[in-house]
Amino acid sequence: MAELKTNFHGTWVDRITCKQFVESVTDYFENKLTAVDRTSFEAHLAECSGCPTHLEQMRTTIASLGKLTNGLPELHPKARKELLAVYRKWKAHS
Amino acid sequence: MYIGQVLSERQSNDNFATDPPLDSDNQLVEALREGDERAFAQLLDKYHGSMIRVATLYCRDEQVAEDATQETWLAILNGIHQFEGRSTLKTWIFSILSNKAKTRGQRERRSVPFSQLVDLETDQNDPALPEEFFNSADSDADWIGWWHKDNHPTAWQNIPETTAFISEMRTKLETALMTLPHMQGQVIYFRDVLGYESQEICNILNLSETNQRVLLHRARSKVRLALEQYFNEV
Ligand SMILES: [Zn+2]
Repeated sequence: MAELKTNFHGTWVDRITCKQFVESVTDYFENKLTAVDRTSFEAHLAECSGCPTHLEQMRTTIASLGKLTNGLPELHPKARKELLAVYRKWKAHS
Repeated sequence: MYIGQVLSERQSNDNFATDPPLDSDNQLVEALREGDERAFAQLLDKYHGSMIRVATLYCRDEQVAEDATQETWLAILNGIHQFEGRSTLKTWIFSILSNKAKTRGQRERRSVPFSQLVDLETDQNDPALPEEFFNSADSDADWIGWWHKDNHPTAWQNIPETTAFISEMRTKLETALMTLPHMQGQVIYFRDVLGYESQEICNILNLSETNQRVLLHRARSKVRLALEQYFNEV
């Protein structure tokens, strides 16, 4: 598959397929690609018609997940009271 | 009416609500050991909500998740004198929770033991996208342009900012999270929802860095796919 090289900003880098690109997205975000693989990734990103959109959607997905913390379940006052009572009991016994 | 009730109950409960929070782990642990209720209340308010969510991702049942979380608080109190600070307090709390949730979840579901879950969820062939999303190798695609014409990504445009849409999207995301395999669900929840560092997640869930990343990638890919299906319908 990635036997051919492509010229990217004056250096010859390995070509990766769209499938390889898609599988590398998290490694790319988490900065876990080697310098060489990162260049291949960026070369593909610069040329492909579909992968940049896919990458953008992965970004949107992560950003949307980050907004979910706004709706965390609140501790019900009754449960809170009970847990604080548990703490007092624990305190008395320790 | 109900909200007012909740508020007044809170205010009368917390005569320590106006005190400055204890910010370091050391301060909190010390205060807890000494019986300072304010420290315990602070931990409850800070972590209880996310603990319930994490436990639910594992147990798949709100009530079981509540029980696992309650059990965790007890374990925290019983273990606080032995806490040595080798991990952060947060990591310690969530690793206890994760163990309680696993035990509970397994007891209820009689499912695959945890040790096998990680192997299952990282080993099996589980591409980020189904095979049919790409052209086959004998097509004339060279290195770019492998996307099958029916599945070529199209930008998610005009995402409305209306409240109705936002809450609908939230529901979609939460459903997507709940349908992920257990370990994938927990990893993505810690990383992308709660924003924990990868290293913390490895410590909490007892995962290697590589496995953590594989689980995260698979989880993100699945959630993206769920959103894509949603946007295609909108
Ligand atoms: Zn591509």
